[in-house]
Amino acid sequence: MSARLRQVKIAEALKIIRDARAETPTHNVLLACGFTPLHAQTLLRAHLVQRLGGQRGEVGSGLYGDLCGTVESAAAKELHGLAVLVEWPDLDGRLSYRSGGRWSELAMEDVLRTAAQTLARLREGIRAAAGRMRVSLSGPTLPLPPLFSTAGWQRGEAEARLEVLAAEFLADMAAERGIGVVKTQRLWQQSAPAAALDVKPDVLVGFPYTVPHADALAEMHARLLTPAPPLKAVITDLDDTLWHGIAGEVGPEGVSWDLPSHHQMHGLYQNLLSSLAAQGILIGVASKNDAAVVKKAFERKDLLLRREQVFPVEAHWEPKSRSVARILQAWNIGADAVIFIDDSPMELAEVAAAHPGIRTMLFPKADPAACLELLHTIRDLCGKERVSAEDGLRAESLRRNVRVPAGGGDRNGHRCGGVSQRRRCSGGVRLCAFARGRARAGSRQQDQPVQSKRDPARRSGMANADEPPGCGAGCHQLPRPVRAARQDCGARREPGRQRAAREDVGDELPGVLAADRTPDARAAVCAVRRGGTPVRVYGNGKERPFAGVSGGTGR
Amino acid sequence: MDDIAKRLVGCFQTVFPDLEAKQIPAASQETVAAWDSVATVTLITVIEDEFGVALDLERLQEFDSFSRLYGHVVELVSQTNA
Repeated sequence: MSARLRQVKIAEALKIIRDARAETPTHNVLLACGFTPLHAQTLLRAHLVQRLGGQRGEVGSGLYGDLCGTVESAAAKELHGLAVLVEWPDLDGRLSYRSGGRWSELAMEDVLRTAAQTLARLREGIRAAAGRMRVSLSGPTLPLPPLFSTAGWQRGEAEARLEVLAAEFLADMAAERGIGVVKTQRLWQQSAPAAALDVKPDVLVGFPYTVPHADALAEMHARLLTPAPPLKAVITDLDDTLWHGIAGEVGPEGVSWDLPSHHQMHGLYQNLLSSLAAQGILIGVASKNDAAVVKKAFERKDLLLRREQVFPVEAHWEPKSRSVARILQAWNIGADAVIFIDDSPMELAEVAAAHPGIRTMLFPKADPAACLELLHTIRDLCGKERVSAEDGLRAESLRRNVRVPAGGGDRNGHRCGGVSQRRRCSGGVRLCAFARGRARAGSRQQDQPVQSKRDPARRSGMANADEPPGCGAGCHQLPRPVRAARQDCGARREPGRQRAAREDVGDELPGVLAADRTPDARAAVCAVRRGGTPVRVYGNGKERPFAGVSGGTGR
Repeated sequence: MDDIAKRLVGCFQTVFPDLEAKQIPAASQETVAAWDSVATVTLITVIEDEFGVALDLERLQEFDSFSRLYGHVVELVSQTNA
């Protein structure tokens, strides 16, 4: 998977540890395992130092063969994290290659009983530690010894029961806050199970892992102990990315994303974006397209990414870097928290050049395996440990508070340079009287015939390619807080709602103190802070000292 | 000091960063406080990566000085090249 760093060898790990900045505070972690920690300890320490950007990391360990005791001791220590590596011998010593006990199918009931008791003890120990520090946990990653009566290709009952015990334990732990469980499937993609066990050092020195397996496991533990904040948003292209085909050529009904059309990867991509939206990741669209066509396509009932999950939609013929800029402005987040996905390397390069820090990713439409890897990568970057009910409301909250990101658009964030968009602007979004007047005047001047998507004349046909098209009310030329307030002020004139309206704007637009909902929309529309001094900003761009708004908080 | 010895010194410096290069040829478990069994296994792994050979963990007890390890590595490298 893409998120996997290259394998770290022991010499390199030692160098990373040695080069850690001495002046930084130490990140203390306890490695709890029943085997000799050896390379696992070195590699975990090195990965922690890497994850912490060179900060010092210390990894302590417990007694050999006493996993439960080590875990139980953690709660009483001053630690940042606890890494618990469970292997089969920890559940019962008879499951070890180093065991002197006899292999007997008759002993299996006893092994299962002991394993259940050990896991119950581990549960309690880990829960106690999780209240005080971050915990990472990996389940048995090594194969069981051939002590069961069945042939190696057959899963016997006792073996299956043992695996169920371990799986239930991991499921219980995964449900707990503060505990990250290593995903074994991902581990095996990075370290094949057949190459995980090194029986010679296991028998000779008590360390069961091959170095590559120890490295993969250590890296995953380090990730779980020092989780990176998930990215906040995805901006996607439409044609040949969100769906197969060019909507402007084949029409909104002609694009496809399903199995019968052999374009299932686009469907999977839609499903992923929909899932991300449900967990609070913002999804925006930047597409060189006809907005009316895009709107029609988004009206299709079989689209897996629902229209209400997307905000805003930038569908027009301007450079995508400008669309991205407006989307970032509407979201009020930095480019480094965003992924931009497109099927065109040129578009990716154009956006990357204009927005340093943004992660650009090619949608490999002709390569299903690469598509799948892209989906995994997106999930890795946006993955959240817990999803709250509020997460799913984030896009809707944005839509309500930032009605039109810049230069107009409808209440769903649709934005274009065509006639239909301007009509939506003045109808869909409740603008102030001043803006409505400007919009009416603007629409008379700017109405242009809609031309085909690929017609170059379409681009030159825009009234002014450099001026954001939109409502024509000139809102895009105003300071952003003023725009937002102006677009909102006509919507809520009821005195009883003034305070709430002001707070809405202030929450979403840092620096805004209050929005003035005076009936005369040409008066001051909002107050912002300039170098610590509150000022009132007028529609014509002039500013005056701010002495508070009647009925407002003036914060 | 031949090439193998120089590279072996590098391996020792990786595992024992506090040891000066000139002290390493005379290093042994007796003279280096940090050289315990865990350090031996770590040293073996680093040497294996550096020279592309496999040292026998069963002879762990024998790998108690620079000179002994040097002799063993020379033997393994010559076998590999033969």
